[in-house]
Amino acid sequence: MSTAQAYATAVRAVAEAEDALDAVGTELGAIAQAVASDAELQRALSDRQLPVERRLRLLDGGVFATAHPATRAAVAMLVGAERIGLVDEVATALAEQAAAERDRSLAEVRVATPLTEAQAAELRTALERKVGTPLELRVVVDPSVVGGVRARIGDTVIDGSVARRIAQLRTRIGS
Amino acid sequence: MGILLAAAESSGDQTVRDLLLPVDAELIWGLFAFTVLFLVMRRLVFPRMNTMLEERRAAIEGKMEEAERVRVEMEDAKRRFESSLGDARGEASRILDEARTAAESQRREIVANAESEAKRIVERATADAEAERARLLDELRGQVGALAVDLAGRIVERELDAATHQGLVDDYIARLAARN
Repeated sequence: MSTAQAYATAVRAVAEAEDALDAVGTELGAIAQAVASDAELQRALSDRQLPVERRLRLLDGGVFATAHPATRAAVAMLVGAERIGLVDEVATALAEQAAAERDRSLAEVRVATPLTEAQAAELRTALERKVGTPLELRVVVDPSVVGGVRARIGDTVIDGSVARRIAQLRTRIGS
Repeated sequence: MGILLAAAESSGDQTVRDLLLPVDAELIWGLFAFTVLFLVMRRLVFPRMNTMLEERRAAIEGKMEEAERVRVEMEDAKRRFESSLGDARGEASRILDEARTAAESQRREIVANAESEAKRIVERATADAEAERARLLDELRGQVGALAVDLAGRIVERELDAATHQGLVDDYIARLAARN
């Protein structure tokens, strides 16, 4: 079990005790995206010179302010343990564990802009046909994919992103 | 004395003649003494003198023979020396020739080695320069390529509007569905 999975297990236990697994999963995913997209925020959250309470106040402007207490406790735990850098992995691991509990696999889908509900449904159906198992989608808005979609289901990655095409082009020109 | 006798006869002076000629007794005793002296000398002195002279002659002859032998030896030594000198000159000339030949051979070998080494250094330097040029070209090509791709990526990122993003997602879903 990786460190992220261990933290995810702990967060899931708290969330299940509070009967708020879905809410915690969604909110933790949103906070993870907010942290991942803001390097300055990530650096400030990892600054050991600042007290944990002061670091947590930096998140008050976003989802964190209105999040479920279990989500806030999870984020506080990660900041206090100097593991806020793992928040995205913890959110993914939590989503995987939640999906597994419902006998589903997690499809982590990274896109440059948010998907419409129709697109998300179509994508889930297409991916389920592809892998042959029921899936739960975790959509992550990640500007690094540039465009298109990069989906990961377990160890399988189906990469249709513009970033991959640019990387392929770079490799071809480099060789 | 003949002149004196002639002068005395011509003058007829008997006294002068008597003064000049010895008396008979003196003449006899003189002759006797001379004879005795001669016999004594022939008996005692002449043989010794002859012996001395003979020894001296033999010694001189011996020395002359020795001198001749030495001269012959010297001649022989000179001949041998001249012969040795000739041999030495020949040997020296041969050694000089050999040294010249060896030096020339060594010179040619050194020149050939130097030329070979110079050629090898030039070839190696050329190969190194060519390899470096190829490496730099590759590096430059890679850098230009990476730069071009980065630039293209940035342009693409900037140029992608919402509709294009949606189109790319729809295209991904369509291709995924087509492959199922």
